[in-house]
Amino acid sequence: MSKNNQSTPVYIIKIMYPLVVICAIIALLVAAVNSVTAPVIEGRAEAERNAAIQALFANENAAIDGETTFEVPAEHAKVIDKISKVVISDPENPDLAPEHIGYCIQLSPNGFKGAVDLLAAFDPNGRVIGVDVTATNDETKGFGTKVNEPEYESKFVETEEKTLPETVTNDYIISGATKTSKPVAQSIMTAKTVLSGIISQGLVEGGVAEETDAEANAEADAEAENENEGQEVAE
Amino acid sequence: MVDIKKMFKNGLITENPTFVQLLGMCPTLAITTEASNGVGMGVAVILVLMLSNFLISLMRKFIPSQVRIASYIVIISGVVTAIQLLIKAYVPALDKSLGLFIPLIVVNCIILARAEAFASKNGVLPSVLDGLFMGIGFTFALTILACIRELIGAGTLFGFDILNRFGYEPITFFVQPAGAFITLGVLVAAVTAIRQKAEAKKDKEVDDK
Repeated sequence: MSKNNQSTPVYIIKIMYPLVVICAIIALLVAAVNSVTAPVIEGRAEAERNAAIQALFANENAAIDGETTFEVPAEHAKVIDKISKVVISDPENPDLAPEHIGYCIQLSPNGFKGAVDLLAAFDPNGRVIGVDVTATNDETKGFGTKVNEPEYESKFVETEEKTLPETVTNDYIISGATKTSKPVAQSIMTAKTVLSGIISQGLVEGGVAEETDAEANAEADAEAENENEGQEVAE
Repeated sequence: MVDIKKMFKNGLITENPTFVQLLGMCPTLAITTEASNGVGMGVAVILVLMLSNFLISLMRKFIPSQVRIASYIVIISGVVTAIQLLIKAYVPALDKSLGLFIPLIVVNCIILARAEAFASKNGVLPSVLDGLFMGIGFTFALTILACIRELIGAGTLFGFDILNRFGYEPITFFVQPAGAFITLGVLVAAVTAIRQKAEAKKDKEVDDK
């Protein structure tokens, strides 16, 4: 075929349309497999998350409260995926309001090779009660994967005598795995700071301040006083 | 006529993709720290090879030669994506072990090499069988390499304690990258020596006749 024929639109279309057809066929194949596997993958991920939360809170009825959401500050959005309230529902009394037992924060800091997925559990006052590294993904086996060991995870549990610092100290760094352990530790400390801010402001439902009982009573008293003054004036 | 015995021997020994053709070195060296990883990766590659060879052979007369490599890559990447989703859904433990190396099967030279060298020039059944036997050869090589590295480097085999109970101190060098290179080099040298000896013997027999 001459070089002139090779540059014509007809020639180009003749060459390219099989590739387009193949792309379409393969796309359909992948879409079909995805439609079958996506629910299975999502279901497993949720089951693993729930199992991890139940283990962290040592209660088989612990679950994330789906009706309460917290806004993640933009500056921490790369590390903090989701902040959730954890409640216990009584399966024998489903009409009873669930009991609030703490908070769970999903984190994904960047380690040595990629993201490290973990859950941090807090009591209702924002104290760390447990950490579970759920996936070390591509971290170096025997080095970065040490963050998944119970000995390391237990370092973050706070007690009356021990609280987490705001920035990472040497106690929380694994020798030979600094690039994994330091971001993991910092993410937990950042999560604690963010959660403390949320709790102290009484924030729920995407940033709207919740009225405390004391404030509601003060408002009711002020309204009653105004009504009384208005009646006296009228009289 | 498909000579299954010859194809099997080619895939396993004569043209073994790892020990003879030296293809797919990246996953070979990286994931063979445990024997179970070697088997798992091998099975995934067998499935990819068979499916991609099947599709490429089926469409070989439809694909113009000017865009054949692009077409092969599209087909191979689609097959790998589908298999990765299936592994994620139904064998999550394998997905966690192999991680990034499953999608890297797309750029495994074995897949493209067999597509270009065999599937694009032969019928569907021979191409599928070629994919199967080359995959078996790759799995065999990975498993041998992984067994040696895990046994010496960790004292275990498929996760079961074999040597440690006897007070064996694992030589962790063998589960590190340098150990992978050295182990593979020794195996390639051994296979080459055996092949050369066999060829010399065969040549002598022909000369004698």
